[in-house]
Amino acid sequence: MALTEQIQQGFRSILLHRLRTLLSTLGILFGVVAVIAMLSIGEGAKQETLSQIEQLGLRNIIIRQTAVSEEQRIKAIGKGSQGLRWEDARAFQALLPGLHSVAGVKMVKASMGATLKDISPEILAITDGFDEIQGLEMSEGRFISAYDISNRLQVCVIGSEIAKSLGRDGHVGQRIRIGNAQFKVVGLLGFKTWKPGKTTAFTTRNLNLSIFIPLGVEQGLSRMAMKKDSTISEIILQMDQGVPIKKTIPLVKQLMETMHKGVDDYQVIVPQELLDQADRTQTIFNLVLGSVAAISLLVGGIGIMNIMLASVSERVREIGIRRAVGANRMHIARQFLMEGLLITLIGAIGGVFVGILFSLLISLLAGWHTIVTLWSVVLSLGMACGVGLFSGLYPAWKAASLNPITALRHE
Amino acid sequence: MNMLLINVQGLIKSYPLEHGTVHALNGVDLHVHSGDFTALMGASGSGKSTLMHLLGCLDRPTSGTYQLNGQDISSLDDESLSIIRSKQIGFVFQSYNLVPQLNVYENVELPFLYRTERINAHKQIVQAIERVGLGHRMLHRPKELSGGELQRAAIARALAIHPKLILADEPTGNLDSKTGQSILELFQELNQQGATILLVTHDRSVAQHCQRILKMQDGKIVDQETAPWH
Repeated sequence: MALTEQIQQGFRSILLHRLRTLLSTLGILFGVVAVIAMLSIGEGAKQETLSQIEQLGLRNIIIRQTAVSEEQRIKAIGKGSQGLRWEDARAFQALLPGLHSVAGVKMVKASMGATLKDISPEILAITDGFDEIQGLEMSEGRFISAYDISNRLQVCVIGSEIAKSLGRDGHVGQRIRIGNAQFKVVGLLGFKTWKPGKTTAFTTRNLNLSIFIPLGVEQGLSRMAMKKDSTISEIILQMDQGVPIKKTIPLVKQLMETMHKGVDDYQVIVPQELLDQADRTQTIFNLVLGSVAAISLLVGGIGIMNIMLASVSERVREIGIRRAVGANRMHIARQFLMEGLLITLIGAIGGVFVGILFSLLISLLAGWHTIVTLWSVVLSLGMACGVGLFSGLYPAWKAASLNPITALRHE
Repeated sequence: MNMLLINVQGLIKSYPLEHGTVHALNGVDLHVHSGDFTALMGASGSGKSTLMHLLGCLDRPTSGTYQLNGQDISSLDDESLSIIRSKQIGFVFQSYNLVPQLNVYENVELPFLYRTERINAHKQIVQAIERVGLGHRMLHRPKELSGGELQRAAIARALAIHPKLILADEPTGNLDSKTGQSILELFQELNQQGATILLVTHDRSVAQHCQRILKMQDGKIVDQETAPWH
């Protein structure tokens, strides 16, 4: 019997019991929904983590100042480590091979003028080159330059949301008050998409809500930014394209240890490593979710086997008739395999649609980021077909091994 | 003289049971020529159904030989037997045995679908259905047909493949006498047009529509009569 005829006859048979067929497809349907929904949640989380990490920059190595314990502080004073300083960055510039550029950031606490008080912008004292490392684009004016820094000019660049809330004052040439000084706005940043990380362990800055000033100018701006404090919050090292980050890390750590004399007052963050870590976590996550989904598919398969066994014992007579008019065992086996597969496919295709709908619903109601990939659809369909074929095997074998004479006489 | 279609020699079919063996057929010799219209009579348990199943290639004998159209088929495997059934043998059963979810046309088409080589059988199918007078019921499902129509559909299915042999097992058993009569007349017409028919029955008045009656008892053919009937 040709395939098209087989499919056609298969449909005829399963349509004999519409409700029963529908009910037996449900098991597979939910299995496929589980696979698709779970993988879409997993993929969504992965993409989110990925974009977080990419915001940090995959070519970057970040050295952050950390809060030190009392014990470490005593050790630091004893050994003469002065915390994270711009001088560290200079050492890297001189000694680290493959270094493309370097930037320093210092988070500054200072009171703001009236309009900006409520949105509490982040004030970042930075070195020139920060814009390049972070891939910042100007929508107006220019970024902080080396000239600004060496001359300690009181200029600033503002993020797009800051500019928006300043309204008419949020343009180049205007002045804003930071701490006890007036800063001239020399540039506006373009909008940079930023997502608050829900699933990731590290934080990224919302640069749209930041104000940039030249490093060094912040000293003495307020009580909280003392005159003598030359520590910085962060050094960002950007490596040349193609430099193996993994091989650079030990060197960075070694340099830092030497310069800080073994005092643990910094932290080295490597986005590349975070990415690998996230990848591993993701794989485990997918594996766990995948097995849960596979189990529900298996349960669906048992349902299919059950219904096919019922179908075989109900249609013993039909099997006898088909045998009498010329069907051999293989024909009968194929017929029932095909029917099982068709029921499974109906369930699976339904499951794909419901699964896509379901993951849309999840992202709508729970606010999780979900992505349905083609891969997950193909995988779940393939798995369902495998389960369907496997579940149909025993009933098909049973049907094929019936004696045609007894089958014909069956009431 | 018509050619020898069925040549059965010393056919034995036995079933092993818990206490000894049951011989359903106990040495049957039978010759059927093409164009014959033969009745096989006997009480239930006489072995006539078993013989019909063997002749219909649904089963294999324990011993003895069966040649259909010159081909020895007593030792063929399932696949070869299935091919012979789909090409050479048309079954008509007491309980019609149509596939319920298929319409008349599709039921008649069924044997062609199980053949290894594909032919365009449309003309043959339609001809057979019209031959038994069901042209107007072509696309009806079995549950929409009367008993007589169901049996006609079954005959059409047997007829469509242009079989060497039509085996009818109590074809009038479920029909009222008037409808049964018309079915028997249909068989007679088909026989006059050249079909070879073997009809199994326990009813003498049915058997008398044939040219020859074979009587079975205890797994053997014990008597033979030929027309005209008295």
